[in-house]
Amino acid sequence: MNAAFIVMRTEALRMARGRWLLPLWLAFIALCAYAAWEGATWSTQRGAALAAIQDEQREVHQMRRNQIVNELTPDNKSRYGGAIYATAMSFRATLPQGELPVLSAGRAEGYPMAAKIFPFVASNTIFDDYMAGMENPAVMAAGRFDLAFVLVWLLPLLVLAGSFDLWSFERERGMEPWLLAQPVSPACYLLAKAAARALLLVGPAVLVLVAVLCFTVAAGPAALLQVAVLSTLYGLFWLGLAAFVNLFAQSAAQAALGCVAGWLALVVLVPALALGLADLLAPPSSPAERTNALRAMAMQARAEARQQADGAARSERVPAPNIPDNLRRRALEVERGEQLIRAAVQPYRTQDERRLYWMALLRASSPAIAFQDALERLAGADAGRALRFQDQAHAFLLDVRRLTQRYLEQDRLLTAADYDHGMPRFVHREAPPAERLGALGFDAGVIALFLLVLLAAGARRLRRQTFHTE
Amino acid sequence: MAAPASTAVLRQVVRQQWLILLRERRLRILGALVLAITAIALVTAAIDARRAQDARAHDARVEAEVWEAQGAANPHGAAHFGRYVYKPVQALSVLDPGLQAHLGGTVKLEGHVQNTSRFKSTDGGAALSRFGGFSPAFAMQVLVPLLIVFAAFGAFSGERARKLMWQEIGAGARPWQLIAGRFLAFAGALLGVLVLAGTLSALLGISAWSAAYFGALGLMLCAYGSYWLAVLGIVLAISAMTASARSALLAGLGFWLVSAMLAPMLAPMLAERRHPTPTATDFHARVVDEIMKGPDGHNPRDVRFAAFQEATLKRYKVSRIEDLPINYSGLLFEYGEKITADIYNRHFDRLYADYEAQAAYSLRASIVSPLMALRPLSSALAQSDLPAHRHFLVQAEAYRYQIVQLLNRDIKFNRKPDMREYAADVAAVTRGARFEPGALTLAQVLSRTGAPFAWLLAWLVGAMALMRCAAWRLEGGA
Repeated sequence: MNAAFIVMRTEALRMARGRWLLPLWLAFIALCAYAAWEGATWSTQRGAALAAIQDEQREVHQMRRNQIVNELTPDNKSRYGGAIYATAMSFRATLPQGELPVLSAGRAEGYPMAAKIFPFVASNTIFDDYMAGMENPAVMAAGRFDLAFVLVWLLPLLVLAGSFDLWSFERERGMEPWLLAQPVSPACYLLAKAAARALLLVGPAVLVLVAVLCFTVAAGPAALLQVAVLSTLYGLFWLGLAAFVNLFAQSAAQAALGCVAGWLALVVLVPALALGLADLLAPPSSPAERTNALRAMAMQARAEARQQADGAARSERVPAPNIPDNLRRRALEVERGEQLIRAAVQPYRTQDERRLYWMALLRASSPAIAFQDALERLAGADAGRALRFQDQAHAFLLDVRRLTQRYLEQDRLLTAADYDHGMPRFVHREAPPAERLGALGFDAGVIALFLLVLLAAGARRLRRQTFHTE
Repeated sequence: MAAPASTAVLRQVVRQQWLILLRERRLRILGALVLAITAIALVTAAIDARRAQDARAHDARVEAEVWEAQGAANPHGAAHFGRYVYKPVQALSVLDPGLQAHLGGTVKLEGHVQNTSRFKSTDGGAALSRFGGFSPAFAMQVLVPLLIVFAAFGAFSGERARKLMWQEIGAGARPWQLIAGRFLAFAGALLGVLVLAGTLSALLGISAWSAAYFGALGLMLCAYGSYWLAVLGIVLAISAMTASARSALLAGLGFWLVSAMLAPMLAPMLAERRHPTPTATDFHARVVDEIMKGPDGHNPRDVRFAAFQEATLKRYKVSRIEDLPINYSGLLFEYGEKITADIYNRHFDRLYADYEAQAAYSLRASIVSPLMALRPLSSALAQSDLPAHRHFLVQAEAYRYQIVQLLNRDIKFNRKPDMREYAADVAAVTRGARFEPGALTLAQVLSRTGAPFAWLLAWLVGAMALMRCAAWRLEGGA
């Protein structure tokens, strides 16, 4: 214990005296600060876009309320159908930003952030207006330089750059036989040296990250703690990799090569292969094909409605109802259309769910993917949250349709009071904390598992006593 | 003793370096790995491209059937129902998919509105999608330079290489000959990789063979060759200037990290900050705002049509709308469509001008990374970049305008004043309009490749100069 402490202290002192540590820290601080600034800008813009969407709904409701109060008379009712018929109600459902939006843009740009909801709108089109962004595709292709990028891609390089010669340095200087002649086990040397690197590389990096987050976003201590724990775990994994490579490397150059190869494999190659595997096992559904199928269904619903309208003897009610009967007929057509849409969409939905299942599973193939997944969840920009929003927006549309149906049955017109406080409101419900923590736990488990595998393989290598003889 | 002939020394150095390269197991494995990755990526991309092309042809057929299935319908309702068009896959995008995944290959065409393309392959997905998949361009732009760093960092640095170099200098070889010889040896190996990649690409794109295809492919390979040679020159110069192999490797990796990872990511973001483009919400709000300020085409009673109405009555020499020989609503739809199309065109022109400004700004980052010059050049030649996409969108817009106006003119000429509801065979009305998008010609593409090519050549010349400097330093040391 004492020997380990001495080794650790010596190693820490040597690192502190080295001219490379400070530039590494400064580079990491600069990168973190820039990424947080970019993230904050992105988050502000997105917040403004969401606010503008909600303003649309408020403005429409205000305009219609004013029409009812100031312009509507018993004689001009037909001109204000948009304001008084429940069938024309207009809503916006928005997905609010998560607790740590500056952390990662994640999948936020791959899924709609809002839905436009009218009672008679086809449920498959409510997200259409919010799907296409205007961002330069070149920026999207380059990827966002957010904190997630700094942590997932660059933090490993910081750790590896500071620890690639963990033991090979001693070997290269010819110190290895002398050190191993001391009454200290090789494992103790390695662990003590790794602990010093953890203290001076991983520790400050995590502190910088937490400080940057505290400065840019008002996050709760639980979220910050989760980021800190996951980042520490991820940093320790890369430190473990450096230590593992050092068990084999003959020289510092060879160790550097091994570390870079490990980084390349786990951060670039394995994720690309995993994505290829996901494409192979569960290819994405074709949205163009789905659109054509749905358009064909719309044609079918229209043809059926026409047939029914042609067959039915249409007699105008006397006295005329408040809400015209053609809107009741349209409601039936919409209901039939919804049934057809549900049937047509199901195979594509199943295919997409299968793909997401595989993608979620394949995050276990590399700690980098698992860490990225965890950061996206913490940022509230993960696919699961986006899909939950879609389900809730769809459920809200159905609620609005049910409400409309009640108005139609009661032949009731909307009033100013309805606009004041009788309108439904979309509120996004987050996943239960246990589900969220479970997913984060899985990601942390993957990183920990990789670290344990490295430790086990390293221990095996040490037990076989090949460490100091090669 | 006479000094050995310059070319003979060069030949000897090249041969010797070849032997070292062939003997190095680590390099053989790395080289084979990169070649295999490139080949697999090429074959996969070719299969995917074929599948995408077939899917788009199938979707276009089904879409036409849906359009035909409308039968008799209100032409304006049909304009709102709209049509979909699909972007053809370009043959060379197999080699460099460029921005395709972020552009979307489908456009909805409908009345009053110009939609952006949709169904991007990056839509949806999960955390894994952030990492991106393989493409031949990724292998050739990012992995090959990394291979060059690994292969060449020890050409002069490290104890053994340094001893060998001094022995060679002692035997009469000049440092510049040694550097040039090693450069030629590595360049020969890279040329082999380039020829293999080019041949495989050409074989996979056999159905697209034409003079323009080979012209573009040839230029692409030249660009990649220049890029690789520039990287090689820099790594060799670093190796010659650095005695320690470790320092040479770290410097080489640092160069790779900055030029292949950081600059390509940061430059577009900085360009976006310098020339900001509106968000989708802002863009549509501005367009809708301008449209709303104009007359409403759905409402013939809109007072803002007064001047147009007066001019129309004058043109047809009548005093009342009811006396017009055409349907006035149809005429208003036609007129309104022209106004909204002009507004959209103006806004899109401005948006794409901003994109162009961003691209020009990003190109300036070529000063720190040759990849920033190679990327736009390669994707331009592959027609997988933004200007090629815009070319498709412009054709799609022309087609949209044509079919919407055909439908509006049908109302204008055929709807009689006494008709309460009007329906026409919309498929028959629009049958004359056909959408056959063409790709950019090689000449059109070449006009955009001059500046990136100049940057690449500048990098190559710079790398040679750096090698020369390294040689002078070694001569001084000798």
